[in-house]
Amino acid sequence: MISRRRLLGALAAVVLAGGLARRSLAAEGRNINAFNARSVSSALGALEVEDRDGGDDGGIVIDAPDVAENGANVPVEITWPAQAGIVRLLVLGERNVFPLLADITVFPAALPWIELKVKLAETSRVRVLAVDGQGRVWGASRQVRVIVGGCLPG
Amino acid sequence: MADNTFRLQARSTGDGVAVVKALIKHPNHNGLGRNSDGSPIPPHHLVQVVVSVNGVAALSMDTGSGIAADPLLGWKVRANPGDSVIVAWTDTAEQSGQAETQVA
Repeated sequence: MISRRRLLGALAAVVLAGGLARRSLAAEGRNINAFNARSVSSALGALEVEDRDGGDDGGIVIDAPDVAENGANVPVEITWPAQAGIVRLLVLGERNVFPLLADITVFPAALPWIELKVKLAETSRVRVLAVDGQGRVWGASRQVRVIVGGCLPG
Repeated sequence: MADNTFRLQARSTGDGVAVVKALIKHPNHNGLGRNSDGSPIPPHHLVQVVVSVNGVAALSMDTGSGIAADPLLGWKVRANPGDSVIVAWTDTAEQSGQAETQVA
């Protein structure tokens, strides 16, 4: 049988670990200026991530429809090489009013595939910037033709 | 927000890998839309979605207003059948939701 003291000690450790984990997540903080930025360059400036457009895409693949009937709900899948050591992904809709769609932190328990649904205001490229552990940036893009824009409902 | 607005599934694909899919009911208003009477709809969207496996974060997504309404989100994580997967979200109104499932 577990003694009362050991049980209390174990409980305290769990509570403490939970609190620390929550604090470390909150401390990273969402970059409000980047999400409110109205151009790709100002969003990247707020994030202090260098732009990388064209050239070597680092093996990042963006899968999205060539033609999206409804810009309000465009499926986007992103894969990247497992050995690339990617720790962060930025997803941008180039011609949206607010281009930064997501800023994703990738921890070791994740594998290199994500899927999300985004809004695109008009025909434009979806861009992904991937940052590795040394701060190197890779960029990929994919053109999506939008029939009905998805940012001004009603 | 109630958990019935949130569907979560985690399926093992073998080799210690699981595919996690979440369907989060959320309007994700970007603040640009208007009601039928012309009044603006204030921004109300997800700001963070965190996926964790057995209590350890696997991915953390900060999100802007450009995520679709009621988005389907998917990830691949290192997890075995029976492992606990939790997906938790918060939004601009400081509402939050969380769902937990076991890898099947």
